[in-house]
Amino acid sequence: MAVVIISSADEQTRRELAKNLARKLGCESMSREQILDAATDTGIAVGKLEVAVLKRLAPRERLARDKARYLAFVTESVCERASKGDLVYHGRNCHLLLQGISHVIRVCVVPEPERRINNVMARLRLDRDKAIEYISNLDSDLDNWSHFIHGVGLTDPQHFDLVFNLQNISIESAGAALCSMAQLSDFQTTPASIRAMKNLWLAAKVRHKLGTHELTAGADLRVSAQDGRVTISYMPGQSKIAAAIPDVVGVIDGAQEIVCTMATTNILWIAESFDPSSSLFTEVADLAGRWGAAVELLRWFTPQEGEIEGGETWLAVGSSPGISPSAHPVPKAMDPTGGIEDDTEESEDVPDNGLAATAERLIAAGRFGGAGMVAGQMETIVTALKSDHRYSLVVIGEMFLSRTALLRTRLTRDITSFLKEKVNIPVIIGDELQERFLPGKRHLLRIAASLLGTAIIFGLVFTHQEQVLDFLAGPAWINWRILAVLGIAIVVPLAAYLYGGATGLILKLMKFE
Amino acid sequence: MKQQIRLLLLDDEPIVGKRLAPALAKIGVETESFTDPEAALQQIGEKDFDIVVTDIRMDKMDGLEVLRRVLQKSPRTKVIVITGYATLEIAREALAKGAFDFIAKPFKPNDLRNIVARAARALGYKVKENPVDSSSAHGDPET
Amino acid sequence: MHGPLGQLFIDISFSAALQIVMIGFIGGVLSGFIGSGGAFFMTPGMMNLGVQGVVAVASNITHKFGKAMVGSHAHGKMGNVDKRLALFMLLTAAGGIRLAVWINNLLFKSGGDGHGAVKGAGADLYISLVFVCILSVVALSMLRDVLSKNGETAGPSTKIAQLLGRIYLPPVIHFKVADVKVSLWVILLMGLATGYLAGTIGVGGFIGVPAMIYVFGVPTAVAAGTELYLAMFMGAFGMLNYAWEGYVDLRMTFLLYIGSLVGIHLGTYGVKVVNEKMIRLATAVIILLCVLSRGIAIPAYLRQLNFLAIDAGWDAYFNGASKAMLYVSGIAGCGMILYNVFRAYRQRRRLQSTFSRPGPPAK
Repeated sequence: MAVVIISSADEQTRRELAKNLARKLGCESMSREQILDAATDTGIAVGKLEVAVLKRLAPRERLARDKARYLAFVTESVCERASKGDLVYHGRNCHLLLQGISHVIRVCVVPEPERRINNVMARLRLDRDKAIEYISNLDSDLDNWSHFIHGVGLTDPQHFDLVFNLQNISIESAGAALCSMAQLSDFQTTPASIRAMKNLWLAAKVRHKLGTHELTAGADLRVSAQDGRVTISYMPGQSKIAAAIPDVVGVIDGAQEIVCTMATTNILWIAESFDPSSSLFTEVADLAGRWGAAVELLRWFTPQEGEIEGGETWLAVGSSPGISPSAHPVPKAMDPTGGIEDDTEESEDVPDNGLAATAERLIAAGRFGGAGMVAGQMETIVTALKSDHRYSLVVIGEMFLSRTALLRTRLTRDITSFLKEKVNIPVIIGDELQERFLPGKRHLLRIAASLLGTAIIFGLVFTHQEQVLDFLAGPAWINWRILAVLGIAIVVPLAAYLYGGATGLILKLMKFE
Repeated sequence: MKQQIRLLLLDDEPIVGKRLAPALAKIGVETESFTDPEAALQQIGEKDFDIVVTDIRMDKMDGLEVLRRVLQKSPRTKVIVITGYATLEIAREALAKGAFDFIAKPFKPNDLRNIVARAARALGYKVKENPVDSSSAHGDPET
Repeated sequence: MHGPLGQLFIDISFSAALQIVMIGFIGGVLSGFIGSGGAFFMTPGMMNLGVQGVVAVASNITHKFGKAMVGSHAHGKMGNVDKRLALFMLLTAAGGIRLAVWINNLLFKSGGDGHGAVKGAGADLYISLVFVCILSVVALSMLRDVLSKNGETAGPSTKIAQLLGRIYLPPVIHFKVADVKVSLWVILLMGLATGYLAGTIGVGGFIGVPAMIYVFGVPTAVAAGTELYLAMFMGAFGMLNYAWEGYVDLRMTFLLYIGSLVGIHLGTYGVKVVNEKMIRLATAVIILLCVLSRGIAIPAYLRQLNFLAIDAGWDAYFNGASKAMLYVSGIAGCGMILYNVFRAYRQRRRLQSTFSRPGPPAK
């Protein structure tokens, strides 16, 4: 079974290639435009989104919800069709819809510029200058669209398996190449890839239902699915809505169980391997319990040297993290023409380094927020993070397992500081989690020390009130008032720091955070 | 100028005209509503309109064709395009073909009123202050 | 306290100290809950205790500065800072603060010239008036916003932003994080206003955040983040200025901390558990009551300045009424928040409200 997804800025080009390929494969082709009409007819304001991008409107809450609805609808529609058999789907940047499904071929088509201009001139009956202006405006709109909807640029190459530049290849040949590529073993369905697609589909179905029902349409819910188990997390402020969730979702094909979890925030746990019996798991779960957070798992690993350039995201955490319980072998080399992976042995029992087991445990604890895998350079993590999820903490777990212990420590530190710089979220190495966020004996000492310091400062000020005020404002010191300013600038933050630290820790001990 | 602003509204759903005409009257715009493109074009041929508001998807004729014919007949007329099936491609096409602005359904009467007021000002009319919004005269439709 | 210092600083009795701690606590809860501010409660609260307006504002700004330096509560929001926007606003905000300090200083020094006017009453009146004017506008527009929307959560109105967007008064600057283009002059003007208000009544955030959202069209999250960043520097600058003039009462600042640093954690927790509409409604009502309370105190200052011929004995009643009103609003608002906080806290103890429902078996 082959699913080929063709993205291009030019509608005509992608339509032609899709039709050509569909004929060769003997299957149907489906376009974004078809889905769009269906979406609009069910009341999803797709037009509003498009115009918002055109007019560069500031992002608003309402647009974000329309966007979520649109994404759920499109994902659902594509998954539905793809599950029935071969499918060629084409759109602007639809390759970002079905991420992490190994039997999906994601293709980018770069139109031949001159032909595109002529097409536009003929189809739109515009003169050449207007046609060129139209194309350049449209391309910048489309790039904005891609950033708005998926958080990445339109032609970001790392999300494609293959790029065709029609300057050098005809549509006919491109279709033929894709047709034979679809026969490659890499792109055949595997139990894992089917499961990943089902997860994505199920999550999209649930999200679509929630997004269009009047009771839940206004709520910010996060949905993830794993093998028929759907986890929906909601914010505490929406606990009333949460009660209605099971009724709204109702009976959905493929959903065996629906778990609603209250989550105030998200913790992202990035690691190469996970272990549900490790102390780090206990700590992360404990922290999630304290914070009311959902934990999202991201398995990240670097391919060995020389294997891949630039990084290849083949399973990324998106808005609907699907989990693939068996790891895909790392692609070994890159074809010079694009990103065609070499044939590799596809074995089902490649360990996923505990990802599925850890997810399982988190679901049981009601703390699961999704899971995904990503391979490539450090930058790929940042790309994976650039969705609109808000994380309040990123925990770095076991990484670089193939390196020596010393090198591992250094690389882990590297990646921590790299992420800190890039994502503006607190990033912490797993070993330091206990110390930083989970109160222990050391914290009691710190509380005691802080309180003592506070008591000394406060005591000094309040037993020497007159002297202090005289120093700050009295006439005797008027010529030395720079000292007063300095004194305040030092003493006030110090007192605030000591006392604030102590109260913060005490409240933390009481699990008030 | 104390002249009435004449606007022609074309949408194959009658409810659109019924709802928008009174809303536009509030800022002093006289609206003639049509549901049939042919009849609308005939009226445009006979009378000068300052502003034409047209739907894109209509059974009998494409709104972009209406846009073309209106501008052919009277280049000064401001054409505002509305549609429920807006895409960037269509919107850019409409703008490239000379539409004044583009608006996606569903919209509030006030949204259209603002754009109409802007179009009228661009034509040199003084428009009654919109009760909800007061936008200034210049500025292109794309920003 | 005696001598010249006696005119400036009050004696702090045990009950006054307790009240300041309580004011700090309520202010902390409110500021954690609302995201910024808290001074709108603390400044009038201190003035009701007989603290000179200038000293109240100065101690408050100092308090704000220290709090921002610790800034643990702001951590999560720091990702949304448009540093460039902050920098540009800061340029004139500093000027605004300086202006505010200068005016306050002038009014304070010129009062109490032996005509029976009480020292500092002029500055008190001025601070109260600015407080009432600005915050009533803020609270009323907030209230209108909440009540008019009837549950529909449309984003903030961008009308003013769109209007200003058309004023191409060069140079126009593009802010990348916030993704808006605003004329430099508009920013500088807003910076000046924000700084002036921060310096005069110690409440900058109430102007800065709406200004960024409604006037510049900045997304709400970025506006809040940028404001927190800005507040740190404005607090520092305000503190330096007031400290230089000798108006900072370190004792007040310290007493405020005792309450506020506990309160702020509870308030922040409250944001998570109270729904958004409720947050905005509560904020508006609390601010409005604070404004009313300050308004009641104004006749006493007018009398002290000999603008109003009423019996001096009435001062106590005005002040008492003002104080009662303030405490009632603060305690009620705080109580509402804390009630929700503790309820949610207890709920969470009963494990997460996880429930599951078996669906049909998968095919």
